[in-house]
Amino acid sequence: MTLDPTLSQIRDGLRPFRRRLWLRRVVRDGTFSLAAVMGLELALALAARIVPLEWGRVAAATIPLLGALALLVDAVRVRPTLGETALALDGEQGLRDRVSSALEIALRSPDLVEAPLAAEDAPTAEGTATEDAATYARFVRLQRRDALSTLRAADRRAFRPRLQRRPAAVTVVLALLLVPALLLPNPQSDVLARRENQRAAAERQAEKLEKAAERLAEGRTAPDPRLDLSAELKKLARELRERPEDLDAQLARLGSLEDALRARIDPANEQRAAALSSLARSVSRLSSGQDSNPGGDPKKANEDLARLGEKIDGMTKAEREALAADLAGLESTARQAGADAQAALRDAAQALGRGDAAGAKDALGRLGDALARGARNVELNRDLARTANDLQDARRQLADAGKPANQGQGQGQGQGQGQGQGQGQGQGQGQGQGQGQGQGQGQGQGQGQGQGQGQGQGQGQGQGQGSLGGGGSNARFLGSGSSSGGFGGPTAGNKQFSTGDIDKVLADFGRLGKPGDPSYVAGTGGDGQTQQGSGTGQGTPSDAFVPYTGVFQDFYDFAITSLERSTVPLGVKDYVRDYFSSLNP
Amino acid sequence: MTEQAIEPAATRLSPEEFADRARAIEREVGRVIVGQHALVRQTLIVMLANGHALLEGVPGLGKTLLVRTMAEVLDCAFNRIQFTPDLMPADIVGTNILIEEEGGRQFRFQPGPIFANLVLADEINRATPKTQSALLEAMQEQQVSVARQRYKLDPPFFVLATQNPLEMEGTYPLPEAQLDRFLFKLWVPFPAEEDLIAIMDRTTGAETATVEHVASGADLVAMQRLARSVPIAPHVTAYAVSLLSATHPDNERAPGLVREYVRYGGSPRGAQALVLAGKISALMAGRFNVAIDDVREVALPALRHRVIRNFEGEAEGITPDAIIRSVLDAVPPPRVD
Repeated sequence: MTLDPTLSQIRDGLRPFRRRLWLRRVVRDGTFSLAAVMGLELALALAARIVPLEWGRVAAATIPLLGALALLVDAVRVRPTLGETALALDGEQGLRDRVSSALEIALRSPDLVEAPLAAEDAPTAEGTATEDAATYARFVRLQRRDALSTLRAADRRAFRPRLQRRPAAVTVVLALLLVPALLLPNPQSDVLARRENQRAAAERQAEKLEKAAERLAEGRTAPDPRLDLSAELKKLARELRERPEDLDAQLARLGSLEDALRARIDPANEQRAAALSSLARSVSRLSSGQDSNPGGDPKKANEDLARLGEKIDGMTKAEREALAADLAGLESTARQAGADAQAALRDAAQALGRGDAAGAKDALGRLGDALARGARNVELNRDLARTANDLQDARRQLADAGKPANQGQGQGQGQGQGQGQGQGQGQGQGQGQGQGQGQGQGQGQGQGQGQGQGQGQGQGQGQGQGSLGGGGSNARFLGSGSSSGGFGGPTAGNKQFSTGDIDKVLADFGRLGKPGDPSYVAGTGGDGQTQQGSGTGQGTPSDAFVPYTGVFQDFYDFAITSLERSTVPLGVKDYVRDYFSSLNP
Repeated sequence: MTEQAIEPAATRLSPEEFADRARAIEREVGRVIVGQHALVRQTLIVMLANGHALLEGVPGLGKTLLVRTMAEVLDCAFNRIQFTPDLMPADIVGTNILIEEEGGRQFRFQPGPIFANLVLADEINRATPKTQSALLEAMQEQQVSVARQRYKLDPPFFVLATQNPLEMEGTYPLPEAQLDRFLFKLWVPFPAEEDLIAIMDRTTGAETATVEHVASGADLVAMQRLARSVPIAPHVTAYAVSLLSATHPDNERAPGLVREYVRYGGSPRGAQALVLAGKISALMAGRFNVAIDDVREVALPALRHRVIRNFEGEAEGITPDAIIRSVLDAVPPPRVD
């Protein structure tokens, strides 16, 4: 269908106006969108001051994007048609519906567009059937011409974009309100930072726990309790990752597992380990006649015992009696190594004394087994102790991450109840003041919050058990401040850290000797009988020439295990660990 | 039936000629009728729309003179019927009378005064409803029925009725069906002082203003036909319908005044009147399209007699014009931003 030329010209003439009308609509709706964005941003900023919104920044960045997207969609939606443009132009410029009528009637009567223009002015006899139709068509043509001439005379600057006053004013007001809402410090930021720290700490501790779990499970086969512990650690790690925000529950789980582990740890494990080593070294020396097992390896001792048993048949009575006496001389050491070892040693000595070679062999075999079993128990206890330490570290790290960040003055607070033997120590660096934790026979709790460079932690231990104390300073605010907090631990519990305390608490490591040396093991006094002997033995190589790197691990293991004794405060534990870390070759 | 039969125009009328003739008629009537330009224009619109008008105003404002002048200017057959309480329908439409002729006596229809191009029904509300209803068929069908015989009224046919709003005793208000048949109800306002001075000068002097024929009945029919051919845009028609719908109290767009004080809104004839009068108004303004403003301009005379107030509306003196104005406010022209 050929479009009527006049109608085509009307449509062409309307297009510039349509673009201007479109721009006006976009500006108008853009003002509304801007007001909506400002309103939402303000509402979000205010809400973020009331409750910590972890997704606040994402939402704040998303709102303008959504506003822009909405405006884009709206811009497509509000693109005016030519008919709308004609109506708007008629209304704005007072054209009395000339243009819109021409377009609408063209749509309503499309068949009129092809009528010859020249024929319309020719007179037509009335009364015919087509006369009215011809008149109608003539009017249509006249309307189009009129519309075209009107359109050409219309102001080309029509549809100037204009801001809607009310939404524009609302936008300005909202923007003015938004500035302080965004610039003033938000108290919820600290909460969010703490949560973030908490999540990061949870992730770190989860990784550590997983490593500990892998270490425990490495090379183990069922029914080793370390496998169960490994599974438990992995479960804890998973829960830490899944619910890092549930700090109290996580701390409780870690604490519960740590308590369970510590309940299983033999407090005399290192004494037993030393006794086992000493016993193993001694029996190897009895078997080989020289210090063939300086490390006190139970396996080597077991082999030496087997060889010693084989030699028994060839021994003279005097040699057997001498061997029996030697074995009897080891009984006090064997008692510390364990009841099985002690019984086997005693049986062996008595069998030798009776001249029962078979019984002596059997007893020596049981002694070897007891040594091996004792060594495994020592290893298990050490693993449990290390894991408990890991759990304690994880608990402390998590607790530190969950502490609120403070500015200004610190506050110390301690609560303690009970009587008892609690000890407390704080450890601080710089100007900080430690947190205390006290324990008495009841429940003791000490808490101190330090600020500045200090980060301290104190723990007192008595016969009861205390809970973790409150926070040290957050690293974010290191460097200034002073603490006004007092230490309120138990009466005889916590006390502020000072380096002098270490001298009082710890023995001189140089005097401890190496593991296995009976003279350095805390004595239990024996059974009241004292055996003294004198004799001349073969000399042994001096330990003074043992390289430092060769004994470090022994000292380290001894120290770490000793730390698990209930009388060692937490701060000292850290100090000891740091000390060994600095010495680690 | 009438003395002068109107023949169809031989040539086609152009829109420009329409406007010229309308202006000539207004100008010629204005030689006798001082001021009252809106009244004259609205009366002319009624005639060009082939409708009927009810003129309401106090005595002495020139209602009868206006109608008479119109008849003279248009060169149409004019009859005046003074409605009185004892006026009978046969007095209007005519009757069969017994006539003696060569072949004997027989009934022959004697046309009444309704058989004219322009009928002035003066003080129409003074006749009984029965007599008033005699006009119904003539106004709507442009024919009368007497003794089972229909008699066509020659075009153009206009009824211009007047009524006096003051003297209500002994009157019979027009029924709604009768009112609805009037295209416009026109208020005849009291002239302004300067117009009164001119009226005094014209009517108290020696010379009497005379008018000339500027159009014939055939011209009027041609103009009526041309007016009906004016195309109207759908949105304008829709606006007229919206206006009419808003006069109904149950319509969602009805303003509060309508909801509270209107019993019935306008009939579809109201919308027809709006559109048709809008077309003529546009042509008289020299335009070829009907604008929404044309519809709004004729809304008052076209709808004021079609809105029936309820008791509260009448008791509180809410005028139909106030109601229509509230409708116009409630239904603004469609605006595209």
